[in-house]
Amino acid sequence: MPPEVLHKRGPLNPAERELLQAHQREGATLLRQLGPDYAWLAETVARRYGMAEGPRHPEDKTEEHAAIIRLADVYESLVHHRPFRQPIGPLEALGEILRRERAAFPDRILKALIEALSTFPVGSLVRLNTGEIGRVVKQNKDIPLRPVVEVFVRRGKRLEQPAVIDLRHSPLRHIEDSVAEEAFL
Amino acid sequence: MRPAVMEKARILVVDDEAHVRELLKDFLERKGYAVSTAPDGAEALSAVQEQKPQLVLLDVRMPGMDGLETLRRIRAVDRTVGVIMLTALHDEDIAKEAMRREAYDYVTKPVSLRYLELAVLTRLAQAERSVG
Repeated sequence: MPPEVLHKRGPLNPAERELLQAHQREGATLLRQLGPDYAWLAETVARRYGMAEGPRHPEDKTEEHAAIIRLADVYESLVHHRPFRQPIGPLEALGEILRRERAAFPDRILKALIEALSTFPVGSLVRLNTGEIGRVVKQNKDIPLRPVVEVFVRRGKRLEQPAVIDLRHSPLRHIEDSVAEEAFL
Repeated sequence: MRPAVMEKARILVVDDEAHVRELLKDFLERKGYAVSTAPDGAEALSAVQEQKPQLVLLDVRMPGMDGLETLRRIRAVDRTVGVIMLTALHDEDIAKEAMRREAYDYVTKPVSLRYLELAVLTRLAQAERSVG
């Protein structure tokens, strides 16, 4: 992939788009060389850009796998920096996908993404509506959006002593979004 | 059947304040949900039985039958409908009690529409999963 295409600001022209799509065919070719065990994966990769809208065939596993890769692609491109825009948070990305791309993906896969993004695993970082940043230290099973968090950044400054806050009992606070670990290393 | 997350899920908004009902109805309709409203607990109960919504947004402080009592009566007729409580700032104990009565979450007024959307989405996705 030529870097000038990869890092281009603005929409790709048809020739550049063709280059971009060629990499999926090459990916599939490489995977085929790995032997029959990887045939399913090669087929999936070959079809990842294949279908967008239109009729679905729920029994077709390759179609479903290809859609999962495409959704992961869209999601990844939203949450990471791109030459033409700033990254957005995972939940914001989820909202964006549901608003703009709902018709392009099977419901089952979108639901799986909703579930994956809305359970905040122990250890993950979250930003609260107060601007505080904390790490999830315990989940509250019956109220999944309100785990216990250890707040370690408040008003933009790292706290010497982290404050443990149980969001279940904190009406003034709620999770705004998850935060990438890299931001705090 | 198409899952409710994607199709028009039915949501019932219960609040005694008309402007809150309208604000939430407008917001949720723009998000693609089918929304009905009720101004008090009694109407909410009939609506739950007649319209079978997937989700109820239920104000805690209402004259007459309050939100917690309404939640108790909803649970007596419908064990599975999702309920998200709308609470005031100092309703911490009420929020706890609501959780004990199997509300899914609570959203503090003034409502953060962004958080409300998240709670609505995740509750609908969860309901779909449990139905299979």
